[in-house]
Amino acid sequence: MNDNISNNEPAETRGAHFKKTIKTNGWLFVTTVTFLITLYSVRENQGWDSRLRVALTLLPALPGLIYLRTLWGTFKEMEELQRRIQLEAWAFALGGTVVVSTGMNVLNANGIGFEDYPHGLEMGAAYISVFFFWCLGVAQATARYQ
Amino acid sequence: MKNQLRELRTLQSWSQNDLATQLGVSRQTINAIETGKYDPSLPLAFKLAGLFEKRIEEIFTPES
Repeated sequence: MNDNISNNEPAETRGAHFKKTIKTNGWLFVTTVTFLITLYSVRENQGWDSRLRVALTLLPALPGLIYLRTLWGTFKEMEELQRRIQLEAWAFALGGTVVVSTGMNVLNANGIGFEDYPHGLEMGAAYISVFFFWCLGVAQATARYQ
Repeated sequence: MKNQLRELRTLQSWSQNDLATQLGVSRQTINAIETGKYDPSLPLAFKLAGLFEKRIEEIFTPES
C-alpha cells in the first residue's frame, strides 16, 4: 500500500524505503495478531469480568491507531503523483464498497437475499472489498498517468 | 493545461529521469506532466519555473 518508490531512486533510498514499509506494515501485523488473540480470548472466556472483556476487545484499536498514524505519515511523504494515485484509489475503494454494500442491502430488502450475508457486507468482507477495489483503483490510476 | 516542458527539457539535453531527480519527483510524474495527463501542484510548478529560469505562465498555458 505504500509503494511510492520510483525507479530512479538510489539503493540507499530504496533501503530506507524498505525499512519504512516494514515498519508501517509491521503495525498492521501487530494489529491483526492482537485482534486475533483478543478475539479468541474473549470468546473462549465468557466468564471473565465484563470490563476486562471490553478492554481486551478494544485493545487492537491501539496498534491500529499507530498503524493509521504511520500510514498517514507515509502518505504525506509520497511524491505528489503517487499521492494523487493513492487518493483516487482510496476514493474508488470506498465508493466501490459502498455501492456493493448498498446493492446487497437493497437486494436483501427486496427479498433477493444473499444467504451468507443477510445484513449486507460484514466487517471482514468489507475489508476484502476495500482491498479489492483499492487494487483496481491503483491499477487504473497508474495506467491513466502512464 | 498545455505546457512546454518537453521542449524545455530537450533543450537542456536532460532525460525525464534527470529532470525528475532534480525536482525530487518520479519519472512517471514528469512523463504525466509532459503528456498533459497531470497538472503539477503549485509548489512543483514553481520549482520547474525556477529550474528553467522562466515564469510559470511561460511554461504552462490554459487549453482554451
